[in-house]
Amino acid sequence: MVESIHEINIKFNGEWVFLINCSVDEDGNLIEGEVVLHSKSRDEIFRNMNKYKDSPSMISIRYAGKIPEGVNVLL
Amino acid sequence: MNKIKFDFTSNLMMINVYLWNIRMAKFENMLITYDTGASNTVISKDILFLLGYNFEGIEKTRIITASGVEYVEPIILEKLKIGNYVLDDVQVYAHTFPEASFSLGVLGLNVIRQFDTSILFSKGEMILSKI
Repeated sequence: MVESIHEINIKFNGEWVFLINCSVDEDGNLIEGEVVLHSKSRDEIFRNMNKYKDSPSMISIRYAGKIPEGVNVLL
Repeated sequence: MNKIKFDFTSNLMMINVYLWNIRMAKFENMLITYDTGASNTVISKDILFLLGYNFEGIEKTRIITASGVEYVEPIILEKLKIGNYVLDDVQVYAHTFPEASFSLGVLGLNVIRQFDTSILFSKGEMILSKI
């Protein structure tokens, strides 16, 4: 089921998601996709994403939702 | 000129980029961190591997990070797209980010400086023009 990125961010807040059937708007912003993998573990997504490597549609991998309160990031 | 939305979450600017999948000859989407403090673009090695990039025989190079020195593989990404702008033959570094990180890569100044950019924090938008 294709859902908007906004819906995906709410539904899978705090999880990594792997999407197929993605589409973009006229400015190239990702607007929707179909979640086929989701997990709190990024590495679990990495271990399972190979089964979708031949997907003819655009794929996307992302952390959905917000970074937890109290977590700070320095790259 | 392109108007790009960014996710501004916990003081990280995350933007959509599209990386060329050399195995399937199409773009794939990733959400990565926009970082003017990074000299180069760094992408998750697992993702690049999925997209068909090969690291065999590539000599690692050294990068200095906030937490120490890391050794990464430089590769040439055939195409990288931001908004509707396509850049060809972009050098990126392949790196295994820690699982606790929230990003699959860092968009660094080697790419950022190719655009005049206005950042509208109030709207969560960036306006890009290719230089």
